[in-house]
Amino acid sequence: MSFRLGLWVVAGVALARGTFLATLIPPPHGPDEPAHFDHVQRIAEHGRLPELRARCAAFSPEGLAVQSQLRDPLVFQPDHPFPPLDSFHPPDPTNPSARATTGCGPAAAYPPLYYSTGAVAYRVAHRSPVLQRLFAVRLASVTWGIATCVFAYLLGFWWFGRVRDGLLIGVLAATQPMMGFLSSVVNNDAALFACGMGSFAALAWLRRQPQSVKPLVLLAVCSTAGVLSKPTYILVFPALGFAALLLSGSLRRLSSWLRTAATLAPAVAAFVLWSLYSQPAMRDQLSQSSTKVSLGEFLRQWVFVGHRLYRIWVKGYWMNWGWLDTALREPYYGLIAALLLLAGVGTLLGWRLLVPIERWLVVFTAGATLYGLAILYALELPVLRTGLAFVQGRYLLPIFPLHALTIVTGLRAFGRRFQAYCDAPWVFAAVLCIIDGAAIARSLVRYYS
Amino acid sequence: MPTWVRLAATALIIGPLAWAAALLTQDLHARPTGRSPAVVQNTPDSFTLSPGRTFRVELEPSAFPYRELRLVTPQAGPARTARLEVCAAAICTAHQVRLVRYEPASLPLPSDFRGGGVSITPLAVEGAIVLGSFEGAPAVQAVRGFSWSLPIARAAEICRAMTGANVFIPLLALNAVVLAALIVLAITFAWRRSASDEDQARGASLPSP
Repeated sequence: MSFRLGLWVVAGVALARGTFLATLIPPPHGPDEPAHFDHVQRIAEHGRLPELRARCAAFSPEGLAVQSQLRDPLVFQPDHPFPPLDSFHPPDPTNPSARATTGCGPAAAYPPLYYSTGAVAYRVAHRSPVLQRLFAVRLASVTWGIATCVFAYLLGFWWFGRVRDGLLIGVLAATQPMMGFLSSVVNNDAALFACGMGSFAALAWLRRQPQSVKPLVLLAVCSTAGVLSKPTYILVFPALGFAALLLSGSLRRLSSWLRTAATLAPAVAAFVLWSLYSQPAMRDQLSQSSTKVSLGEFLRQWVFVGHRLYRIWVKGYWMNWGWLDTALREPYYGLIAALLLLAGVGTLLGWRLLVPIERWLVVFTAGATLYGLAILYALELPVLRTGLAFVQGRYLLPIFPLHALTIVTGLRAFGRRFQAYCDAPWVFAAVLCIIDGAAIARSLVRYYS
Repeated sequence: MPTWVRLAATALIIGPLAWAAALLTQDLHARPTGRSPAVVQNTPDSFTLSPGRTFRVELEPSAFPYRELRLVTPQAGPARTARLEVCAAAICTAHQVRLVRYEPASLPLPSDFRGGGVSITPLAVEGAIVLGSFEGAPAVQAVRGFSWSLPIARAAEICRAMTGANVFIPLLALNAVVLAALIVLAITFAWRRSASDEDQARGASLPSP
């Protein structure tokens, strides 16, 4: 298969799957979709950023109608199917007051990059009913999803050095159920995943061409776009910076430090500027501390709790669609866990067969994952004091590129160690495709039966 | 490496694939029921079944035949039985049902019944049986379908409202073809691995695109 054909295959798969999922998931059943849509509507209708108050009378009248009539009767009530559309009565869309919104709300503090692309799609469907405008904005997410898969293809190609492996990582990204879902509804995670994948693809390119400036330019663009999609992307920067330092030269060379600093500087500047601008909304959100939770209590009741760990980091990471209330049957998660266990066993038993860069990848991924978990739980404690739980499995998905490479490496190590007759990572890809089919069937049953 | 070890390792790798295929087959075979809440007329949300006291539900006209009613009890404790007469479309049949919390009882409807009034008369009741909503499930649910066509038709209706076009079925078919093609591609690549090619690629310089 040629490089170009592989690229088209991955982009085509992402387009077909994204468009279909955008029609399958009923409106507005992406996580916080009304709030994200409201942000888009604010930019598209008023040409202005949302007012920076976290808690207020949010949403336009038609946004409120969508939320109260199509979302509220269903969320966390699996026995309630999606209501008949003839019971949905939004306000007249030709009346400008029906679309008027302050934009303030849970998504107000996010930077405008993703929402601007959504606003372009919204403007294209400007004269249509509200559900069609929402679908148009979902298609903007699908475009980000295509970018994610194309970057995944490049990541695999640059890291492993084969078109076939580029295709493998592209297929894993396209069929990772949670990433596919979030790239098909209105949510700025769609842009975040594309930027995360692009950043790691740039690092893989840098590994191949350590002296070239082009990978660093790609890394600078993707990291800045990532921060301007969701500021929490800054938390990935220590991992990006460390990897860029090692791959572009050496920790001991001053030039490596300067190149890395110059690459990430635009993103850090964007983060600082946006943080200063959005400070009122964040302060408003965190000032509502109402619950006293001690560190010990937090660790006992919120962190080291088996079923919560499983719910967040297995179900929430791999497949928890809808308003994060639609999961698969437990055995599906069991078989994902079985394959991950196989990759872990393969890594341990086949350690001697790994080349140094593969060992480095495994250690780096383990470190980045532990760091990510620690930082997410560290952030959860202050948020928890406002009465809200924070950590969700999808928050670790920006480092899915590392996980994908490590899973492939671990499964291949298993096959190599025992000279298996098949290439295990491709079996994993086939399993993800089947799980995707099951997720579609589950959504049909959950919402429409 | 002994052949049996290689075979065992291969079995460990493809085991989850076979497991996934079996699970999906089960899911597709257990066709969705097409449940919808049925409003019990002139009756409070929760009520007690009394012999001879009829209650009625009105089911909206549907292109898909109704198959059965499901009765929900919020009552804890042992299962209780009742004999109920169901009259719909001028056909009356009597059925014995067993009511226990968490397990809705099924009450079959006449075949090809596509909506209208249904009256249910308890003929005999063991103890006091309360029907009422439980954990979000309404006291009486109408079940259509036992088929994938109902949810697909409903999803197509929602899709039409979102897109303004009848594109759900073509998109569903395209998606099914894409997933099937990916599975075939993945299995093909899994079995046609080229170890030498792979080893050459590990740590080697990038081939030109």
